[in-house]
Amino acid sequence: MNRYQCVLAVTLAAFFSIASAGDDPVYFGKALCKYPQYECVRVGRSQSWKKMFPDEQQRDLVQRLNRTYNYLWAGKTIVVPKNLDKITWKDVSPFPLKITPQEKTKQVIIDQDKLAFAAYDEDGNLVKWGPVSSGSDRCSDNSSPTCRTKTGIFRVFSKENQLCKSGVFPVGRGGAKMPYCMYFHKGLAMHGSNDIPGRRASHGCIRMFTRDAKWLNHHFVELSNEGNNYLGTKVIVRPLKGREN
Amino acid sequence: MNTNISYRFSWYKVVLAFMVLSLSNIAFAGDDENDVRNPLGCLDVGYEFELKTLSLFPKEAGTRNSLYFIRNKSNQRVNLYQMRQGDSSLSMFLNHDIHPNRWAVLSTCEQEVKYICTVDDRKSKYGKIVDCADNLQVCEFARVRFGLNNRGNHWIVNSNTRNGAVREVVRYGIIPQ
Repeated sequence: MNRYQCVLAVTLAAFFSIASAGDDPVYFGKALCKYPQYECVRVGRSQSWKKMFPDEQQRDLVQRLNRTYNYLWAGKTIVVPKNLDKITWKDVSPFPLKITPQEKTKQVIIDQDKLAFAAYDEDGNLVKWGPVSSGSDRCSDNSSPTCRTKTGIFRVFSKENQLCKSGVFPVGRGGAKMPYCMYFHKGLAMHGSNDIPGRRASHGCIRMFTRDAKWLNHHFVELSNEGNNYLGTKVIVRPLKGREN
Repeated sequence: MNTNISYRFSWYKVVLAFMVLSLSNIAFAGDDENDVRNPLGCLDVGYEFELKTLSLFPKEAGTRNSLYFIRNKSNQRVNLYQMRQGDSSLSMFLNHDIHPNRWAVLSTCEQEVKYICTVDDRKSKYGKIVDCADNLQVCEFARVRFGLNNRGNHWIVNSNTRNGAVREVVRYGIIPQ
């Protein structure tokens, strides 16, 4: 019996390691450790982002690279660029700095594999990028069979200020904070959040750093008006690799 | 006396059950036939089959944001791969696959959407190219009233029967006219 249990345990362990390997990041966080420009740092006891990176700009950059600004815990590994004092957000961008847009319009591209958004101006210049957390495969509250974000090309039709709240979540009550929400399809919105865990964890919305959501809301995203032919800023939610829907 | 009533009652019940069964049979038979016809109001406009590909022109008839019902009329799964003019690593491809004899629904407001059709083939990752015209039936709801909140380019229905597809669209909050 014990032998069978051992075999079962080994099989399960192998299965889970294969399964989790499939979800391992490729473009950010620990995945960058293998490149010579980066080093991996183990967080020590009673450390925090502020203590480790007193310079605000450098802290912001490391948080972007790790796709999280949640509290750090002892033993967590984070990736840090070796020449942190010399690089800018453009140097560590997972998106090209210039693209050829198919139509002259501003667009926000959400890449769920890169766990990041890119904001491009009308001429295709990258003006901002940052981490996101999109819909998880399974809903944490079992409210739906899946919480994956709907993919497609949409337009922002409504935006609110820092007091924006969900009318649906938590289920039955609503009231979850969604500061600087920008709705692009039905109840789906890009919004600020204090919880960006470095993986897909939302109910379908696109969570982003609150400072990024504020910048997008105030300086980039336009609602439909006469000037843009009643088409708000374009939002492209790209499908996950190997999953077209 | 009581026995007589209960006897008559069960006789009526049998007749009623028989009628319900025959009606449902007719309804289901009709469903199969209906499944190959375009949904009511879905017109044979706004698309073109050319050199094996399928091109959709949402703006050509009616409003710019249109609803396309696309039926896979073959008996194997058809994959639709979107073709784009520009070659950008960040282009969004509205690819899809439709099960045999099923309908899929695409909402789009692009100027033109072009697809190449393939069927599964072990030798190729993307499958074997087939003529879209031989495998697809297309129609367009050109005057759909979309709310501001449900516009966009996305697949609303993955693969369903004709009536099921219409139901899914309505449940989504879009009213085809």
